[in-house]
Amino acid sequence: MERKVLLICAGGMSTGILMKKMEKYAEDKGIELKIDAVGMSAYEDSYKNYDVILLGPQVSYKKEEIAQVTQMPIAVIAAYDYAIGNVDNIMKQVDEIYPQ
Amino acid sequence: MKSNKEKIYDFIQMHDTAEKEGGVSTTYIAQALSLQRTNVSSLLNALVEEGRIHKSNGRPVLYSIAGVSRGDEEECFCKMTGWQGSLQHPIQLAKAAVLYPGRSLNILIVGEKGTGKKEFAHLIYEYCLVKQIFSAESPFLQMNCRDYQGSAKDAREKLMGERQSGMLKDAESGILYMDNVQYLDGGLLREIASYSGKPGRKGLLIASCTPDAQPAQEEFQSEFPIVITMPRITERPIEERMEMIQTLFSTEASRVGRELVVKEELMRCLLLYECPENFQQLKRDIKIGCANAYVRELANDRRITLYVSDFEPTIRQGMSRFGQMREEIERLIPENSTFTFDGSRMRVSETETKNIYKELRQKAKQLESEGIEGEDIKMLLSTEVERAFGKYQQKLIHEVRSRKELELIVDEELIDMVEGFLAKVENARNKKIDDAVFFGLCVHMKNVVNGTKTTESMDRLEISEVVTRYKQEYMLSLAFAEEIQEVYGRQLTIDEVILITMFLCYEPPKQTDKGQTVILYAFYGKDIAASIVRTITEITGFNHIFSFEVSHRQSETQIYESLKKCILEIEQKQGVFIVYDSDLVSKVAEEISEETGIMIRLFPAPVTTLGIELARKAMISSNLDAVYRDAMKSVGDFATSHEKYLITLCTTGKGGAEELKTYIERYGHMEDVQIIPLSMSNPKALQEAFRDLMRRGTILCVVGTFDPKLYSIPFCSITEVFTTPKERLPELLRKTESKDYEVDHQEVFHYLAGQFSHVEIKKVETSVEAFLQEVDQKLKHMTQDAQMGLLVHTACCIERLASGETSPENPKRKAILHQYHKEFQQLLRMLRPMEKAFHIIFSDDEVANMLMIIYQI
Repeated sequence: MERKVLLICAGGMSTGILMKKMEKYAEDKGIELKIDAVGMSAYEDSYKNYDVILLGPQVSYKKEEIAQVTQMPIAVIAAYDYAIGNVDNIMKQVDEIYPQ
Repeated sequence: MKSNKEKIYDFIQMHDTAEKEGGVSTTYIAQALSLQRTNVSSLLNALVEEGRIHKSNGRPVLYSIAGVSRGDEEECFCKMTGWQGSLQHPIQLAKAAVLYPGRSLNILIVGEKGTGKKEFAHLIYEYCLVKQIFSAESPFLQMNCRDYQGSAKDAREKLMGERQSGMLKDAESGILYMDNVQYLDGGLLREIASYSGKPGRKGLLIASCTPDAQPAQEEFQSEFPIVITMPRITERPIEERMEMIQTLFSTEASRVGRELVVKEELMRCLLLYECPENFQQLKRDIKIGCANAYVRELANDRRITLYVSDFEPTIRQGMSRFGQMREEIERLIPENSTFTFDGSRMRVSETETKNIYKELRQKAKQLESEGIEGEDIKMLLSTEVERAFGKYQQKLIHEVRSRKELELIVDEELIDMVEGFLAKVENARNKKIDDAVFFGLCVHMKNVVNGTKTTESMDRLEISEVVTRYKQEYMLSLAFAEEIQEVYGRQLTIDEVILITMFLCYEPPKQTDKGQTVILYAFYGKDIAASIVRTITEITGFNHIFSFEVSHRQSETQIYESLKKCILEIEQKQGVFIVYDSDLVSKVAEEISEETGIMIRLFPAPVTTLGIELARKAMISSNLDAVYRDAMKSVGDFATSHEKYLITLCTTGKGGAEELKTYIERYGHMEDVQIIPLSMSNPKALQEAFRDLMRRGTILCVVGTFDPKLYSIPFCSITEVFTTPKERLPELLRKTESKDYEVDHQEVFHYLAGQFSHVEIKKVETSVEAFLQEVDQKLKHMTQDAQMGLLVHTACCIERLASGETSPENPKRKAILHQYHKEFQQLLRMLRPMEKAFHIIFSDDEVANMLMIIYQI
């Protein structure tokens, strides 16, 4: 089953590259994954179409708020994983909060 | 008609011949003869005293006819406690004397008062009967020479008699036992000796005296060649004394005909008190104690509990020796054990106590009600301190470091109370109390008034030691405890008061804020180190650099001594950094550090060692590359690895540390770090483990309940680890690793380089790093997360803007710019260098995004 992940960061600028990397990762591993990246200001319009929300570390302080609004499984990407695009670890986080 | 006593004797004799094993029990006799059990047992005791019947040592106590062969010759001597222990040698000597070919040898028994000389002599007599040295009619005659002190004539008459009819003659076919033989005068002694030496004489003479009065006459010594020394009660193993006590109580129990209950502390006292008159005194004292208790309990016919107060005051002193013999005593008489004697059996039961302190207080009260004075109570509840003190110190956590932090945790009233209390203590002791004690005590008292369990079980010895040693502090703590009770309505237990006392007596490790780290170059060869030091000092002007010359002619011990001397001379309280070129130095230096307690850090710079190796290689190989390869390998051996470690520490076992490790592994993102769980139960081993790890790499930090304060390695408390949100854990654990973090940034940029196509990554790195630093310093100190986020965000912005993309609109822009107007302006200025460098413009929307990240809006 395809999982839909929404990445949220401040302006949607930085998650963009992570999104690309994750897409490639999913493709290589044959995992069904749909990923989109949005800024903080835009998530409220789109979150309903996703299963999981991942936050960039720079917006980790918004976790509670977003969790309340969306009522969805949510995780903050570990700073280091985020910064070096360690998709392996990030996918582990996804598995934890939203098991296949 | 025969008396009951005779009936009993006959009954035992009858059963003896019926070969009933070992004899008969009191109960058996009472039932068989339809007599009162108590009567039977007192009659039996009378018979034992008369020496007509023998009483077995084991339980149940069995009675048999004395002097009758029991098949096993050992049976004679095994009636005496210690026959397999301290009396083994005396018994061997006695047997040897009796069985001496031709004719038994006379024996001199030497022993202090009450060591059982007479009893032993009688056992020798029984042994002679068993061995059929004498016939059953042979007499055992005894004479106490002290009765004839100063009247040699009477003594002479008694022994020699007129016309050879004295005791010597009467005992010709048996044994004559002469007690206190030293009271006979020299001439008479000689006569006795020559009399007994007559050929054809069969009887055995046994003399006895105290060690200080051993007759010196040569004739006497040659006629009494076997000298048997009876050990003092204190020379015997403690187990034997225990056995004596038990036997004596059993005897008393059967005499009284009631069960006797003896509690642990009385038992311990009896086991330990100075008993100058040995077994006989022990016997007498126990008799007196039992008699007192019997009188007290006369009205009841239940079991009798014996108290320390029933006994002679001297036995209480026994507890003062408890400290030295603690382990043995506790093994023999476990804590809270109760001994019950019923004449034939002894039962030991242990009372389970959940709260040892409650028990202790009751015990103290009980002792008081028995009329024992405070001083004695203290002694009885005495010693055991060090262990708990150590345990306690480990529990002392400096969670709080400032008054402000303290006020967040502890309510002010309590802080004020503690403050007032400490002020009193300071006043009384005229000594300032460390702040750490104040903070620690506040947090501790908060737990106390909240009813949190704050203490581990301490045992009572510790308690009494603390009380004795820190009386003043203890009294003040007691008063403080009362205050606490008044205000918070919580009654503090003794252990809690003790813990407070210990807080007061705690001396935190001294902060050595003065002093200077010194550097020492310890190199092989003449003047090498000195030259290096000279050069460095010239360049830097730093004067605390020293040199040490290692000579290859010196032995390890010589190097140890001279290096130690050198280190002691140059050391300035802040440790010594040693740059060395020989493994020997590092080995020796570690030992010195251990011996002197001076901190030493070692850094290898194996120039000469490497040179020596190169020279040797070059001598045997002319291949340049081969020499080079070897050299690289040698350097590799020497170089410190960059392994990183994190230590999880548990105060007791490793269990907690292992758990902590699992937790950190799971959430700490410490993949590049090895997590090592260690236990601090053995401080020395811990120190060694630390040193070992430091030799192999770097210890990032220590996580545990309290800071071991080793090698100034950063410490992170377990509370911090568990209260920090999981996603912040890596940051917390790496907070000390600033240098390594830059390495991490490089990795980030390396990763980004693969993603970016419009900008040069090197340029991005330089300008973003500068930008981050400026933000961190001038705007707001950011968490590691925020910083990393901002880094990636900014870098991506640059890439995107450079590619011609624009930032999306930020709907909160206006509000943010309004609220953070000043910061907005500052941030704009900080962004300008990047705008210039990459020919881009950060829109207001984008700046608002950054403000959101920085200020967590």
